[in-house]
Formats: sequence, structure tokens, C-alpha cells
Amino acid sequence: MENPETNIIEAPQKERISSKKARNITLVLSFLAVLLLIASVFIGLNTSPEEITTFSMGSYVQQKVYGADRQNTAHEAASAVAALEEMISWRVEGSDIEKLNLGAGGDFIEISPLTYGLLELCNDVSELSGGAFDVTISPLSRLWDFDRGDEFIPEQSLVEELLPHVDYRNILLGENNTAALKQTMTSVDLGGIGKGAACDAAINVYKQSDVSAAIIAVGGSVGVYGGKLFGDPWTVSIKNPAGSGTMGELKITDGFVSTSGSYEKFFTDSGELYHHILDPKTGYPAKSRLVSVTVKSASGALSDALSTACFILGLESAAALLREYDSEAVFIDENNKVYLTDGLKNSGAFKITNNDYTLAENYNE
Amino acid sequence: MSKFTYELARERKFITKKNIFIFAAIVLVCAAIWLFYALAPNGGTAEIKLDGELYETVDFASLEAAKEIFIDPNLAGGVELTITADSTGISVTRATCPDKTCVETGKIVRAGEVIICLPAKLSITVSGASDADAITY
Amino acid sequence: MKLETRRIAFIGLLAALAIVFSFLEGLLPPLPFLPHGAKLGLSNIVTMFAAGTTGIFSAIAIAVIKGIFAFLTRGVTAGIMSLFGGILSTLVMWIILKKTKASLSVVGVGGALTHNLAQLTTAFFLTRAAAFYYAPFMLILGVITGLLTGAVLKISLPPLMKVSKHFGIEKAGGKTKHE
Repeated sequence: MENPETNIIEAPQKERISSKKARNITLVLSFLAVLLLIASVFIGLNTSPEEITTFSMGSYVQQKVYGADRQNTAHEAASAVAALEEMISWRVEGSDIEKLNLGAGGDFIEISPLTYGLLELCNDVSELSGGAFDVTISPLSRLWDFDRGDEFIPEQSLVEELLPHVDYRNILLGENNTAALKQTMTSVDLGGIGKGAACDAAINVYKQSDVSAAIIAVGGSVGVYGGKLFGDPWTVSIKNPAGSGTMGELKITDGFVSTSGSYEKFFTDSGELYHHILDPKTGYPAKSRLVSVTVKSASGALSDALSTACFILGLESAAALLREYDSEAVFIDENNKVYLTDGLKNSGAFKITNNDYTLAENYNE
Repeated sequence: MSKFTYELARERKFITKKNIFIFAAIVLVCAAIWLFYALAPNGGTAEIKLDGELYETVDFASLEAAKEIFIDPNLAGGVELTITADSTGISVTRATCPDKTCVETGKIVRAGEVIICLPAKLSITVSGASDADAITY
Repeated sequence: MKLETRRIAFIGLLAALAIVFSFLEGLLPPLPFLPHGAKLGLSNIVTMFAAGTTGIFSAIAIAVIKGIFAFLTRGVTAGIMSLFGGILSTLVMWIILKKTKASLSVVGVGGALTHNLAQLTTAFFLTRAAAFYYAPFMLILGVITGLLTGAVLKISLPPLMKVSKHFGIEKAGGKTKHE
């Protein structure tokens, strides 16, 4: 703005570049700049995802959906998640699980194929984990009630009284989507796989719609569909168990990720920490020296179930279970040491981003 | 005082071609920076500062439900402020200052975004830009 | 003596006009794509005219009166911003007008950018935070309002000169060497 009096039109002819040429070059450059700007805004608008947040299953359901029909699809997926909750939440009147729990000890009842499939999966994981994962833990989790806000250690006699009723083998699966509970005291809570199953439900909607890519997070469970722009993998960060922010990044191109951590819900009593992941064997919080397990699987419900199972089993026993289901995991122990399954270690898909954490050299270190 | 604006001004052009290019350049550069802002990834944390001092850090990932933060008017120049944060962003939802600029700014979530309330000497800055598409917990 | 009275009356008139401009500006709805709280600074037109007719000191006096008005009606921070923005932009416009032959749009944009940068700096010192996040918005805004200021000046100068003649301001001036 310093020498504006040098009017281009009146500039003398002696200049190295003629004023007319200079003017044309500037004009063309400005035109290109404007064009570039408009183009990038246009591309930005067209490739920007539909981002919506709804509330289901007691947590936020956050979606980012890319592609032509992103708006409708995102809302459809949100409805699918809400519909799933209506079907599998023991709190919802008339849901499959409520009916199952009410009729415990009685005849087989018909349930939706979806609930049936989930129960089948749960029983499968329970079997292979030797009972470390068990959806019949429900009476005990209601006894501890980590959602109450003024938690206390329940009477040992009460725990011992309820413990014998915790057994996944009490869930009987019949023909044609029928199920029953063997004992009147048995009850089922699918909360342990609900968020993962919700991711499955959403991804199924994406698959049947005209969208190119999408990511859904139901609470801390994540599912991805399709590839991002330029084929970049999705980045799923793992929450820092010991503080704010995150501790690492997991790059995935498909599948589902769920985490179980002792930091989510807990209370302390006389210096001891009591967290919400109960061991079906003892009726008390699992003592596996882990603080967080993140599992990546081909299904959301599976990753959710496996993360709980692995947390309870501990590092050593978890490896075999994960191999069985072709899943990978990130373990964090009490000493901020991070352990990876071989598949993750070899692919380099996981990276620690927080200096408080160190990667263990060997899985069994 | 010898020269009148009129006399200084009446012979001048309103604008020259060179001026147009300079102004266009300023606008383009600023628009590019704005675009850069608009495409910034979501931040992980929000820092609430009063008079330059850190008051509270909000970690979006660990918010299960909406959280309301009430600022002590004694620390904020007599202005009563309510800040609401949830996993989708942070905003000032109530302010007793006259202009309510901070409330009108709305919700911020992208890394680098700022809410400023000058009467309260309050600033909220979103930082911790991560490429994360989601957080598992 | 009579001339001096007329001059003071004229400055008062300009100050009132500046306040009316700021007031009108406050009535405008906030533009959706611009940072809230940003002011256009249209009253620069008046201070600029004052700088040329009655001198830089009376122009600064008008900026101060405007700042006090903002302080009384919109609070301390708005007052400080208006004061700094007003004085600095008046000075910058006066210098550009006096020392260069730049076009009127440059004068207007220079003033508007100074006005906005002064606002940003004030915000920065008050919050010691990333107030400069708003810089690109404020600069674009400055260019737009500066052009507007320049255009209004170009159009309004002849009628304003007629008015000022009634206040005897014309006689204080001399012949310019710019022709």
C-alpha cells in the first residue's frame, strides 16, 4: 500500500516488463487464485461428512458419514441403534431380554433373530474364555451398581449368595430363535456388548446405503466402514487411562474397536480401588493388573465381549482367546506398560502418542 | 491545518488498479487462512482461561454427558458465566455482560477455535488437535 | 473570536455525527460469517474529514469523545477498544492523506485495518489469549469497510465542504500545492 500513486496505466514505457503485460499476468494469477479458492471450498463442502450425535444405550452415538446419501443414512443408522436398544436392553419394557429375564426358569420364548445371534455369540465367547466373559453376571452387577453414585462394597454373604447363579450355561438356546433361562435367579444383561452391537447395526445400515465411508462411535466402541478420502486409514485414539487426553493411535481400515478399562467406573474404599469389571468367578472386580484392554475384531459385539474377557483373563490367557477370534489387542497394565498382540506389532498400526507410556518388548515380559 | 481534506482529496482517484490487486491479495490470503481454520481437525481439549490464567481444562473424550461450568463472578470482572461442554464441543451458554458476544459465538470444537469474552477477560481455546476420527474408552 | 466559536460548533457537529455513525453501526445485525463483536468503524469517515478540515488535534478530540460515549453506553472494554481504534486509525489516515498521494480507498482501508488491528491488540492484552485467531476475519472486514469509507468520502466531500463553509472553516485553510 506504500506507493499507490504509481498508477499502472500511467507507468512509463521503459519498464522491463510492459505495464500491460504485468497487468495481464496479475489478472491471470488473481483469477487462478480465486478459482482455486472456490474449488477448494467446493471440494471441502462436497467431501465434508454429515456429523450427527444422538443418545442411545446410555451414551453418545457419534457418526461421521461420507458420500451421496450421507444425511438420510446417518439418521437411519441412528434409528437402527435406537431400535437395537429397544430390543436388547433389560431396562426396556417388552424387550427380548426383559421378556427372557421375566420368564427365567420357565418355557422357551421366541426372540428376534438379532438377539438370538447376540446370545449365541456371548455363549461362544463365554465358552472359549472359560467363563471370564459372562452376560449372566447381571444379578451381581446390579448388587454392586456402579451407576448409583454412592457405591460401597456389598456384603460378602450377598455376593456369595448370588455367585452360583452366574453361569452362562443357564442360557438355553432353542430352535427357531427361541431361548430360555434355566433358573429363576438367572438374569441376562447385554450391556457388555450393547455398544459394540450398536456399531454393528449402524455399519449394516451403511452397507445397504449409498454412502462411501462412515465411522460410528457408541460411547467408547467404534466401527468403521469404507475408506476415507485418498485411502487414508481411520485413526482411533485410545483414551489415556490415567488422565486426560489419549495415549495412542490405532490405524484401521475396517472392523471394530472396543475398550474395557478399570478407569471408567470405580470407587475407592480404604485405599483400595474397586472398578466395574466384575470377575464372574469371584463376584469381585477383576484383578488382572491391567487398566485397559482395547480389542479390534471383525464385529462390534465381538470386540466388546473380547475386551471384557481379556481384561478379566489377564495378559497371559488373553492371547489364545484373541487368536481364536482372529482379533488384535492393545493392553495397558498398572505400570503404564503397553503390550500388543503380534499382529498389531507386525503391522505397525498402533503407535503410542503419550510419553507416560512405554511399549513392552515382548508380549510376555 | 493548511490543507483541507477536500483539497487533498478531490483530485484523488477513488481506487487504482494496483490498489485493487493489493486489496484482493489481502482478502485472498485471509480467505485462505480462514479455509485452513475451517478444515482444522476437531480438538481434544478446551482450555478455559481467565485473565490469562488457566481456570479449567475440559477433556472432550472423558465427557459422558454435558458438563456445566459456572465461573465465579469475582474472578471474571463481575460477569456471571455458564460454560457448557459436551463431547461435541464447548460454548458459553449464559453471560451477564452487556454485549453477549461470547454467547453468540456459539459452540466451538475445531482445534484453534476461540471464544472470547472481553468484559470477563475470559478465553476458551480448543487445542490438542488430533487426527483421531474416534476415541475408544 | 467569532471564527473560533464557529470552529468549536463545527467540531461538535462532527463529534455528534461520529457518535450517530457508531450508534447506527451497533444496530446492524451481526453478520453470520464474521466474528461477533467486530465493529465496522464507519465513524472513521467523520474523523477523517475532521482531520483535514479542522486539524488532526480536533480529529483526535472527536475520537476521544466517541470513545467516552462507547465507554458510557457499552462498558469499559468497548470504551478502550473504541478509544485505541479511533485514535490510531485517525492518525494513520491523516498521515496517508497528508504525506502520500494514495487513492482514497487506500486511506479508507488503511484506517479500517488500523482500527481492527487496534481492536485485536486490545483483545490480546485483555485476555492474553489467541485473539489473533480472528485476524483474517478482521482484515477482510477492514478491506470491505475501508473501501466503503473511501467511497463515502469521495461522494460526501463536496456537500460536506458546503456545510463547513457556513461554519467559516474555509478561511482557515490555504492554497494547496498539490494541484
